[in-house]
Amino acid sequence: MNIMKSEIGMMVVFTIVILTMPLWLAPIGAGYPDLLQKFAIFGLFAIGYNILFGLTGYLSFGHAAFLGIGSYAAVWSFKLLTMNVLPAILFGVVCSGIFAFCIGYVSLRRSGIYFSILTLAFAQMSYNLAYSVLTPITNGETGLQLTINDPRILDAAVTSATGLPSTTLFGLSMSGYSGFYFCAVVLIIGFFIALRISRSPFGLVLKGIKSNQTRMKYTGFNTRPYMITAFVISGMYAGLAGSLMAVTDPLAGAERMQWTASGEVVLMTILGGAGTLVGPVLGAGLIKYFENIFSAFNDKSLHELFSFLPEILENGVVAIIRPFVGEGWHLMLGLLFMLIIIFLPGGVMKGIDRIKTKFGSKSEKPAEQSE
Amino acid sequence: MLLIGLAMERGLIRHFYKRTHAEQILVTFGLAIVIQEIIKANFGANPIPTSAPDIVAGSANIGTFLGLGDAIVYPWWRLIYLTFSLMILGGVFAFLQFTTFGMVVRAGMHDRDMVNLLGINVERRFTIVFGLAAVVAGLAGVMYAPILPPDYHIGMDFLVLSFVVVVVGGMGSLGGAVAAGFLLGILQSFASMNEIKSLFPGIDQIIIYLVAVVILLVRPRGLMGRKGVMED
Amino acid sequence: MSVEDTVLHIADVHKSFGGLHALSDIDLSVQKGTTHAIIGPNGAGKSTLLNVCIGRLIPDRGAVVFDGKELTGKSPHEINQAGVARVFQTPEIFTDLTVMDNVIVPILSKKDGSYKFNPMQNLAHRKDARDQAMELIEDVGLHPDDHAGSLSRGDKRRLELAMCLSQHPKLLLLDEPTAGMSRHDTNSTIELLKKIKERGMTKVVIEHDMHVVFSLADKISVLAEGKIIAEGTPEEVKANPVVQEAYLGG
Repeated sequence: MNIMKSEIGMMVVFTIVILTMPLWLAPIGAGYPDLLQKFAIFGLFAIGYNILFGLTGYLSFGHAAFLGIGSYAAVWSFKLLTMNVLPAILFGVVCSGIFAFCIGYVSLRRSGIYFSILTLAFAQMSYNLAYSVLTPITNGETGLQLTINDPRILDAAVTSATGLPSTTLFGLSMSGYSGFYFCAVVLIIGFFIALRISRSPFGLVLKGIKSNQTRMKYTGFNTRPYMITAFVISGMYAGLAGSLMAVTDPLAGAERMQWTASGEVVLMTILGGAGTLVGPVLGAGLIKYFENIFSAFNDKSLHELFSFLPEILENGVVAIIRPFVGEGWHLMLGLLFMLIIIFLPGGVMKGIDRIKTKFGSKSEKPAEQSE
Repeated sequence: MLLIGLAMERGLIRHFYKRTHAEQILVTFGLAIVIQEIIKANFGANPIPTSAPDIVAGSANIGTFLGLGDAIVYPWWRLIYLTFSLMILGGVFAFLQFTTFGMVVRAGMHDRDMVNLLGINVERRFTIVFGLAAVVAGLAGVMYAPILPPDYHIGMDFLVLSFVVVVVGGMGSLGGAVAAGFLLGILQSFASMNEIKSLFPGIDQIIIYLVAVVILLVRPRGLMGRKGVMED
Repeated sequence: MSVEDTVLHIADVHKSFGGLHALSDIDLSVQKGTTHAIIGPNGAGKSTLLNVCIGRLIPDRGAVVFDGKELTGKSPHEINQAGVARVFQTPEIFTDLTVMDNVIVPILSKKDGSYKFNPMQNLAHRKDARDQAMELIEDVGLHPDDHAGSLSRGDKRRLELAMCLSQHPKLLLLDEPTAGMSRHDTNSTIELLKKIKERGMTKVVIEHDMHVVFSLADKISVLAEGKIIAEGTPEEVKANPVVQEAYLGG
């Protein structure tokens, strides 16, 4: 009973925190819909990734492929069917699920480094396909966009819009805050499903696979279908995130499938804490927030920021920081990547836990002595 | 290259031998991003065209040489590259196969702790091997520059390719890696021929991955992979 | 010694690694409800024999028949689902999970089969599994909320035993269940194994410790250089001159 209570409690707290994000993020300059949408979408991506990496320990380096597939599928749904977002995300999830099954079926024949490389190879292949080979479907370098002449067979009867239509949820436009709230609701649902999975017998089996695959086999589990299921679920999450990207901004490009995007979600998950529930969402938020801040800097804003220092110092500080911000954001990301893995392999959530137990043991010790 | 490789191993990689595979991959991945970005910051984001030394410019008319008319013309530089890489290949192979050093490394691959217990400093040797790997990769890069103008993300493109080659060849098997390299390279070239491309548009972009998938489905350990090498 | 009572029949099994004959022409029958000990000097092929039984190794020749079904060539999880559980020489447990979860996992395998997709079911509501696990954990004297990774070596072995018992296997294979245990722990393990015997579980035990073997086994097979050199009750084996020469007397 206690666990059931805490499950509801956790969902309530999570829901409130997510829905009030515009309010409590405003003071740190992140309270605008564009960024908030990104938080929600990448949060979802990371939650899904965590179902694979966090629970089973299998490190996929190709999840961006599913993100891209979700985006393309959603845009095609906008082009062919309707501007309503529900069919689009459904279509995105189903397509990425199918791809995830095919890729997972092959990649999961191996484990460890082999598995990671296989997923990376598949992602590169998908990227190449999207970038050049499948141009009729993906529109290659330019990216897939909406045009006025798209058929949109379901919409045709209802509207005869002039100009490019925008994505809607039964008439409610999906730009700005309504877009964010839609993403937020999807994120909350996604979080709930992930919560249930991690507390289900199925989730326990996945954790068992991570902990000791040999024992699982000699305990009568056929681990392969479990792995494929986990892979497909996390691929579907990625597809969902990808289609939400298309919902908030109806275009899809191959760059979403690049290995850097795969690396980013790994970093988010690890930064927050792989295997924890809230960690991936937190990690996604942190990365996207700092990306937003750091990549906005340029020489001028840096000089302004440090203008309180004497000029020589100011120039020095700016010269040191400059390579890490603006276009140099990726350098920062790479360094962050290494630092986290070296010093905090458990992620922020584990770090918090560790601090908690440290303080906890400190406050307990005097009590022991007094006995 | 040797120095950078050695420094990398000593400073970073060696602390990860005891960690999980996932962390090993991730830390090198992070390092790759950092190096790539440093290169980008210093040399810019555009490819830098490099030409081969003048003395080897031009082409060799192999056809005439073999008495087949002038049907086969080949740039000198590529011929030199081929010879050079075959020499390096032979050198590495001999080093790993015929020296005691190589033997220790191969034994350490199977059971690092056991070799350590025998009183051999495996760590030091792994450092050197890592440095050597960096040298060989660096040489490949230098030699390839006249063929493909280098840019900052060339590393990642080749990283994926070489991983695929190693996995297809079989982890820990030099012969397998060479065989897979030739196989995939030749297939790629065939797929790039116009006749083939008109049959299957874009096949040249994905042929390598397709073949890799088929091989791994048929032979999960790769062409010449043996049981127990780099497995969990 | 009727045929119907045979739970495990290893028939003419032969296995060699390169030129080494690890097992040659092994013929062995284990009777229902008995404890069958396999003893022999190091390198006699005891672990190889066990590995053949659970599908880790495939014999070159011969067959392993369990409960009337042939196991040869089946995958490990199929063999386990058929009712064979194994305790390993070095405990194979889930070090990242709690003791409770460690025991629940095999119970789920027994109840739900080798694959079941139930991601929305709350584990906390699986009272059937939890109660059963709790009982077993108490039986072996562990605490359900402890982290399995932080247990002592002896406790890890006890945990693994509990995990195997939780599946109520028809046949339990034990690979040196008391190796590395103190005398006290060894004795409590013997008591535990005797208790299982009362429930009618069939066991095959590989063991070095003669004290354990003679206090548990109904029947002993002596393995040397991949062949069975003697077989019989503990008394018969003790008295056998061939065994004394090869193993006991040294």
